[in-house]
Amino acid sequence: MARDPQHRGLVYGLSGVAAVAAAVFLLVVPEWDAPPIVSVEHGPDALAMNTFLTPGRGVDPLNVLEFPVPDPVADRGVTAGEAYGDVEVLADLDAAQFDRLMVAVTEWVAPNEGCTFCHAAGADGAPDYEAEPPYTFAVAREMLTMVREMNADPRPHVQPQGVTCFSCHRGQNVPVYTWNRAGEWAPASERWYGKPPEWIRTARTIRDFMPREAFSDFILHDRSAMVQAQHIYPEQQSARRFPEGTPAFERAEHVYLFMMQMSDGLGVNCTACHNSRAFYDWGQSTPLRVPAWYAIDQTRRANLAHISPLAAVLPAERLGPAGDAMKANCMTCHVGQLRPLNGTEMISHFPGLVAPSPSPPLTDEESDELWEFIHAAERERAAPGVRVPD
Amino acid sequence: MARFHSLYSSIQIHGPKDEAIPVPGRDRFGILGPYISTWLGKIGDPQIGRSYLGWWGIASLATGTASFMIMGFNFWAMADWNTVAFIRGMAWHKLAPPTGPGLHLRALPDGGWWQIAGLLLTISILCWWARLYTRARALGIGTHIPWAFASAIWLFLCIGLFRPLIMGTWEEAPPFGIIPHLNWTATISVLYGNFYYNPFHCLSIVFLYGSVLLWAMHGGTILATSRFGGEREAEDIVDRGTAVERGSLFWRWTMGFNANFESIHRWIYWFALLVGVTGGLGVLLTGTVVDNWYLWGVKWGLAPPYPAGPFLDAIPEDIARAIAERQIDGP
Repeated sequence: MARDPQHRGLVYGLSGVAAVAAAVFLLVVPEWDAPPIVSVEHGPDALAMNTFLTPGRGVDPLNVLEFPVPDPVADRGVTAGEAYGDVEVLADLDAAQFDRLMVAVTEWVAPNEGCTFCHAAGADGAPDYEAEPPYTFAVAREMLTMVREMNADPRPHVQPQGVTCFSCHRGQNVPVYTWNRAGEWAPASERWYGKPPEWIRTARTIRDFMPREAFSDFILHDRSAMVQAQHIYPEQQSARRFPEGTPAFERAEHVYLFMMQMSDGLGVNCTACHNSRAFYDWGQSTPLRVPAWYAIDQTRRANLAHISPLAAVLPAERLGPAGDAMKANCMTCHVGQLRPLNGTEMISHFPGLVAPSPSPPLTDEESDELWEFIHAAERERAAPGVRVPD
Repeated sequence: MARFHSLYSSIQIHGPKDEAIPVPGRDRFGILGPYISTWLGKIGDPQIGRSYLGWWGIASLATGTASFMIMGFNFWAMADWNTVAFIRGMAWHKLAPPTGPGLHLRALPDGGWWQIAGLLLTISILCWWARLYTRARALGIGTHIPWAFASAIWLFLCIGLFRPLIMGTWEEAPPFGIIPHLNWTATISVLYGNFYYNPFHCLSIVFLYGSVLLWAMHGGTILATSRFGGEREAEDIVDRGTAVERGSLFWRWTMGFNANFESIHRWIYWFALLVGVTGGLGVLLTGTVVDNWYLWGVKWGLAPPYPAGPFLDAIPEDIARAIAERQIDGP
């Protein structure tokens, strides 16, 4: 008679192996958040309108940086334009305030390189303001215009904190979190196989793996995110196709990817802005959806009017494979926080970074012209064999 | 007491192989085995094979393999014939249906491969159904199993064939690919105003979870009474013994009612079958009869109004204007 007629040993043994395998899987395979996961409810009871926080994940080092603010200085009584001649964006700023701002910008963007990051260096290494400046000078000018425009926008998004170069750059020449477009696949006439999905296969992290088309739709192009049916019955709506031709399912997936980018960037859940049972319904959305809507609009303008045209001046190592400049999304400035840098007041220290009046929205003609310029630049700068997307 | 035919079998019969019974029909030929596997004998019958292939089986395997190959070679080509990228991206590869209105055949790279792969896969599945049906008839048993499989095929066809036909576009059908087809399920819910409020979706989930519950109850009852011979259900159906009495009494004690040894199988069978049947109906109604299930739920009192909360009182005027400009439905 066998000593273990019912194979208890086998059953326990297999269970043990399975348990160990499960434990190894949990530890090794994906990245897990250790408990506790803190849930903060911000809606009426039992509607599951809450935000999940993961204190165990640690703090992004970008979020504990000190915001560099030089000591205030007294006005000199002459404008920067009068004092220095070739000042385009900040000509009306007092020369002393201009100098102080330049010191601050250096701290924000090029603390190690100093003035000569954007200005030509003379024979002795000191900046030579008369000589032909490097490409960074033109970039900085464009970025200053962008920052001033954003701070002057009366629509609620960046007020009262305001934005400066430091909001995104955080002491780096290039902000840590940016995105580039992927090259377009060959048209159907030039391949025998089906259209591949837009995953970015060279990505090393899952964040970089997700299609950039999703970002292009909403923070580069001005495309509708309204994918959900708006009426009960089909006969109430005549057309559900999108004017730009993207199929509904693809567009809906893009909305999803873009919104996840937004949640990730702001450290919130869907329910920060939406009621997940009816995402489209503004009447069931929280007031936070309003600044978020304006933010998408502002980010699109920044990417289209200020960042993308830089493809013409940036060196090759600052461009993506499709020849495009590194662009901004929510993560670029927010870095996982609802209020970037824990809400540090910024713009109150630098009144020169607010344009005197808000810019009017881009007209269709202006957008078309920008696109023409951007496409021409990107086609010229794209890596060999890479097709520039629309 | 003989204890084979149960999970706790300690005895494995490694004797002469069990030969299949002679059945009518001239296309009887088998593959694979028979041979004995001691390890599989620990979780079931140690004899593997001999399997029956038959013409339906050959047709099913041939079309299924062709479909699988079409998907695989498309995926491989999309990975630029890079084998490492092909394998690493296995979960992410996607063979998408044709876009745009119209049900006509498309050029291969424009969705034609999807159409051919889908057609071959459908033929393969239907052949497999015929194989189950003819084998059940050949054995002289009921055709319950092929009809249960037909429920799953019904859901598959509703999703990938019937609904696209009604909608007039293949765009509504799911793509092939592991994660892409899962994304499709999330996307169709969002596009059509939240499947949570689709009553047939609700029913399908009820039957799905109900099947799980019934299976746990039934499996538990049989294992618990196996010391009294409860796993010999067939005998107990016609000649109820102490295992039946105890199993039945257990449920009458704990919930007042018991299924009998025959009817519990009808319970489980129909719960399982109705998962596919109701799910298919829910799919067919989406976008054809109802476009937004959430609003449908509001109309019929399924979605309650929320209490006053931190919700927007009014949309800012400029946003309302921008939305109206982008409103794409309407005449």
